[in-house]
Amino acid sequence: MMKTRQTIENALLQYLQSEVFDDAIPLTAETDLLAAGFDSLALLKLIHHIEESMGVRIPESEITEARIASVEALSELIHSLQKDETTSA
Amino acid sequence: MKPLALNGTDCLMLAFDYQMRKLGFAGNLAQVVLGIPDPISERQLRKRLETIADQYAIMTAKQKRSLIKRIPFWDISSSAGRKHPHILFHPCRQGAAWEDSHALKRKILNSPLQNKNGEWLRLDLIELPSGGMEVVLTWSHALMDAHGAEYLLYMLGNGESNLPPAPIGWAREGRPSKMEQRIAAVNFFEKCRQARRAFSWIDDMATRGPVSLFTVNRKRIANRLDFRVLSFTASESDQIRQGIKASCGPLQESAYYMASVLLAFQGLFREIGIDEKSSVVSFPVNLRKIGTRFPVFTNQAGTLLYEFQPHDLENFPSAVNAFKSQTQKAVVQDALFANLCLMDLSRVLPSWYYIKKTKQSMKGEIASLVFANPGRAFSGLSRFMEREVSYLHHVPTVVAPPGVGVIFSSFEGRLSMTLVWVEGVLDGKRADLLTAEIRTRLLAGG
Repeated sequence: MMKTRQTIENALLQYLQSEVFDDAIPLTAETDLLAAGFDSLALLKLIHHIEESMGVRIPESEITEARIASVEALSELIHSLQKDETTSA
Repeated sequence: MKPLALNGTDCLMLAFDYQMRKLGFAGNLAQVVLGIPDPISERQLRKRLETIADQYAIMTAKQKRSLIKRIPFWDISSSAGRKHPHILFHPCRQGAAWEDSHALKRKILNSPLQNKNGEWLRLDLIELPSGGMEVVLTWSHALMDAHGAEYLLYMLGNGESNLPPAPIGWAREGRPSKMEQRIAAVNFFEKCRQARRAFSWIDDMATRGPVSLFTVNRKRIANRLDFRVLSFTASESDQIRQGIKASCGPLQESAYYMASVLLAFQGLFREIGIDEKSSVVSFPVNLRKIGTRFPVFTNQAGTLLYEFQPHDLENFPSAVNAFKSQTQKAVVQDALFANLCLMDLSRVLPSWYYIKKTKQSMKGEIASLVFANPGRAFSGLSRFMEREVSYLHHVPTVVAPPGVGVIFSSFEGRLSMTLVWVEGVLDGKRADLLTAEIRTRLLAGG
């Protein structure tokens, strides 16, 4: 079933705060992830988590600085990829 | 006080310390070097160090091994009444040249710490001809990793009011990483299964046999380390960052650095005439959550091994792709967890036995190169004892074998790289050429 953008956003925030970022960095959907220290391994772990938990595959070409700048931007990307997959199915 | 057990990575660092001392080296040490524009008071620094050492008893504690479980632990109670860590002052000699200053720093890097007496760290203050000063923190890697060391320097340089409340910050039990929680949650048999997975990856790489400068130069090896620091200006660092984005994509610093370094090394291998076998790179990965340096006095790292076969090093994009695909595979297969389970099991093994098994599994080589990228230095270190810090770089020990390694870090947006080698694996002239080649490749944009 297709998830709403808000649901995706909440799920990403929960994952990132519990697994990736320390409590010293309270995350919001608008937090600049790159400035907060997000790194390549954390990104790969997040992508793997998204694939496993949401069933959405993110192509490497979609991973741009703008797309991973914040949870808001990432949620938008996942939501649109989800829509594409639903349409093509 | 309850004994504080070492985790698997701490034990590996301890085993490497044993290995290095056995070969006549100073041990498994590492350094952070801070440059400040004018001298600080040795007395004032000593006072701060004593305050911190009194509060964080682990800094002067002895390490012991439990009789039945065989797991090494910090005997915190043994630190009572112990001497505080040393601070050594090195006055500037008139007309001192770069060679003199480098010789002094090389001597400091090769001076052992008396671990058995509870000496795990030392501070050296070096007066510079420019009127400035370098503060060198040398520590035993069994005590903490580079992130912990940066935080300790921050505590030292920024007064007592900024100290985190003890014991949070140093007690591993007080703030375990997610990985430690995962390891604690699995049973012994699952740990063994994970360890076997980790060993099978190593065995697979070993079948091809890593290329090694150490083996080729074995007869010329001396029991001393030497190093070169490669520093980039702010604009050069920006140029490199642009190159990373353009050629590797966002957040791909490690891929870019590793590809640049390996291609430079490949050029050296060809020049020397070493067979082009695969290059195996040991890459420590920080396990702390982003945004924290806690716990301070521990090694919160796992290791990923990368293998680059000759076809992976045909050009820059192929080297980057080899790195990326192996990282991806490691995440999907949960390789870090398997590696940590392996290290956790090693806690019950004596250091000499652990080293023997590790060397056996990699035909004595372990790796071709050690590569580290701890990333941005702790921002709190921009000031040290009311002075602005001009530069910061890391100087690690590289275990022998492989006896050669590089570490990247950035401070206030400026990138630096340190090449460290065991004398004989390289000589100063070759190291200069290699460093220049790496510099050119980093600035070339991939």
